[in-house]
Amino acid sequence: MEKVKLKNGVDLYYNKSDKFKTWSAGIYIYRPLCDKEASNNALLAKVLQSATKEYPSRKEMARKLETLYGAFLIAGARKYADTHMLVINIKAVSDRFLPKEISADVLGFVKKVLLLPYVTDGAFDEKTVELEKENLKKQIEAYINDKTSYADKRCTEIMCEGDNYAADVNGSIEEIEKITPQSLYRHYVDLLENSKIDIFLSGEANFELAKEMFSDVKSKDDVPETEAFKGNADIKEVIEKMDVTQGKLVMGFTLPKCSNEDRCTAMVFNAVFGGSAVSKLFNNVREKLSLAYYANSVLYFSKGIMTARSGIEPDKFSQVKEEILKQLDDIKNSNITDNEMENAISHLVNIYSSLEDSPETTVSLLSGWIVEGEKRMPEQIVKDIKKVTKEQVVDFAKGVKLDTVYFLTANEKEEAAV
Amino acid sequence: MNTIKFDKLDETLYSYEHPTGVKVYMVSKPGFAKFSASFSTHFGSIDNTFVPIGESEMITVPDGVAHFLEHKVFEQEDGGNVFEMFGRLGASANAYTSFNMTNYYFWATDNYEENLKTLINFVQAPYFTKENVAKEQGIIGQEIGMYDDDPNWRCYFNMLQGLYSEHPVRLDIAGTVDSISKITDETLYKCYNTFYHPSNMYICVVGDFEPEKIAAVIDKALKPLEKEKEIPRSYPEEPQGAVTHKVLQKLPVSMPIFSIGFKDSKPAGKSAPRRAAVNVALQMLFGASSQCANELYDEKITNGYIGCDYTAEEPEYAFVEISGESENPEEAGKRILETAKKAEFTDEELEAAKNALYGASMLVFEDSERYMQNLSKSVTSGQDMFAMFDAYMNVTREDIEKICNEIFSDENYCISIVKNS
Repeated sequence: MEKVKLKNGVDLYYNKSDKFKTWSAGIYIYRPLCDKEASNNALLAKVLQSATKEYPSRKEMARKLETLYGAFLIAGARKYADTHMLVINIKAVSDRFLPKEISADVLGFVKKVLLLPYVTDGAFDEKTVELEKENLKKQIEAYINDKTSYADKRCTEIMCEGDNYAADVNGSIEEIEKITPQSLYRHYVDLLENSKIDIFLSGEANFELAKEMFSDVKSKDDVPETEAFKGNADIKEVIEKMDVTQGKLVMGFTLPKCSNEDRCTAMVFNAVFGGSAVSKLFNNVREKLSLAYYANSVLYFSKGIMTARSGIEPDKFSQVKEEILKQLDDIKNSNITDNEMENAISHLVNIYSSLEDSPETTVSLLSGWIVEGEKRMPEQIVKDIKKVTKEQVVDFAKGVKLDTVYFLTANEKEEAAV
Repeated sequence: MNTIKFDKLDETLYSYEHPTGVKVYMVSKPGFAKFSASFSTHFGSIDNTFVPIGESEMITVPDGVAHFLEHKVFEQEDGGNVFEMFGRLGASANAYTSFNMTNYYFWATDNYEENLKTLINFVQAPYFTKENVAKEQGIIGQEIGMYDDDPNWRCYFNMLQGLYSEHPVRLDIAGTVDSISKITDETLYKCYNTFYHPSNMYICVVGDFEPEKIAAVIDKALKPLEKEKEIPRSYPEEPQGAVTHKVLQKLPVSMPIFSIGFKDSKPAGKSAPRRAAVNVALQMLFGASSQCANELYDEKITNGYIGCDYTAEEPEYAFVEISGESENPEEAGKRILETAKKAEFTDEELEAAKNALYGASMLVFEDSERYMQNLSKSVTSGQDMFAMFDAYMNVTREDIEKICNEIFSDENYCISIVKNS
């Protein structure tokens, strides 16, 4: 991975490779996370993707991308620790597989999406903003359609109430409603003036041209800082009911205070506990006890949070909750077999070694590490994962504490009439 | 070993048939860190009536048996856990069942040969008992419960039931709690011995390797069995046209969702030119640059863009699905049906759509796992994924007009809607 700091402060990364048939350019803008920022960035991404000065409608944008041999443009928001990112990414087929060269045109197009949007008199197009506000609100309302991720989101909201981290990646309906074409434009100007901006190129990209082309983008030096979640004084337990057949249990835990040095230990701990198909949750809660269709865990390292999730029969709530805690206690009591340690480590080594085949996943991972001040590259992380010991995992687990229990379950059924 | 070079794409495909009848396909990708392999059988949810191996009469098995079998193939006689075996070798493994196939696969960055042996060995070592079948009925029951709560899944299968009255493509892949309760260890062995015979199976490998070395590993791991003749299968005759033109289900959703189906009156799943022509038509009429999709979006009839897809794997069925979210799904359906029947487009739109699909199809080659999945799906269905590139470039106005006539009509149309009470 090559990295140059452009004169304007933008870090331009180049992950060069000729084994692919496509290349991509990703623009990452880092902002401090809060509900208002998230709402504005999520909407701005949609508006920027909808029109530029040159192609002032979604239809014209789409036609332009078709003529660039199906180049794929996506603008969106991402939540990572206490940072909210606005990301614009374009992916296109490499020139050598096409009847004509398009790479300069593609780079120029993505730059215009960022710098030359469809703006008149200090405001974005009113119709576009209204339509995209509507779409974004509906997208938020639609969370309920996917009960698994809805339960995850509810658990985070309940657990982190009062912390900016409770904000959703797409913000909230209340904040979105406040946005006007003028206020969104002011936000856009502020974003370009006062944010850290990185650009990532992958595949066979035109690095020299990109250096020149992006030299008029401004960038600040620092990414927003993250503060680990402090935890609630008492364990919170919330049960909500809905018309569902399967219950969704999500348990939120706080992690011990840690720095980047503990990253690999935390990853191995999570892979042993519930972060893989060789984990304790998968093997015991799902396979041996047949209690659930899925049972796993996810780590939000720098925020100091882990969640364990499981889809279960509504009447198995207490039993599964206890079983998940028992699996955690087993780790705390050093009850980890050599097999479990080795499997967890090979699982992670496999994932991180394979990253070189997935340039976009690598970029998305690196942008997170930039937020966390992690300087290591995936190759080094693989080496460090292999060094993690069982004792380190046990020590880490001892600092993991249950904080919040959330259960989305079925409405009580009325007895069937005989 | 056969070698086919696709110069324009800079891809090379190696293939051979093993004496047992297994067909092997390999793509060597220098520089790829990921090695992916699949072992698939041409046996899916639609294969419910067939002549079992060594018998002479057709039998019918319970719905959902292919998916049930997929779960049970992971069961090992020594109680060993297949995921753990792969996990120990640093691989991630999984499987899925579709209408016409069951696929077992893994990807890894190390221990290629050991992992490949593990894949072939576990799929070739069935172990079904009364007890382990009963246990699985519980787990799959939970899985079916999850699908029952999934509005998109329900909407899709309701649409299929609106299109098809007889063909088993209309059935849920996992079956029902009732149908799977009728599955026994004996049913499983009968299906296994018939459809998991090497003559009905395919191995696909994508990664950085020497084809000869991988072929040697495969040849050594495969069980020695005599090659068998093709399995006689029977599908009920499906009448022309949709069964009904509207299906409605009530489930908790934030906004109504719809799936519009068009039954293809001349399914020809194996023909690359036909699939290319349908995809180009869908891109022009309903893609992000289309008049129809943008009007629905701008007039707030749909929430965002509509999605479209053409399913065509086997000779007996093929259908177009157009889906989206809408406060007024009936109006969306009306507009989509009108646009489809008119099928108007300019030469400029045709060129743009062909270029876009040509480029988008290149993405398949970017990742060894995705490549393996596509290769495996196409060879198991008797298709040629490499033929699609020329097919896209060769699509003509006449091709599009012909297929639009055969697919987009009032008779072939059904809209499935899921909404709150």
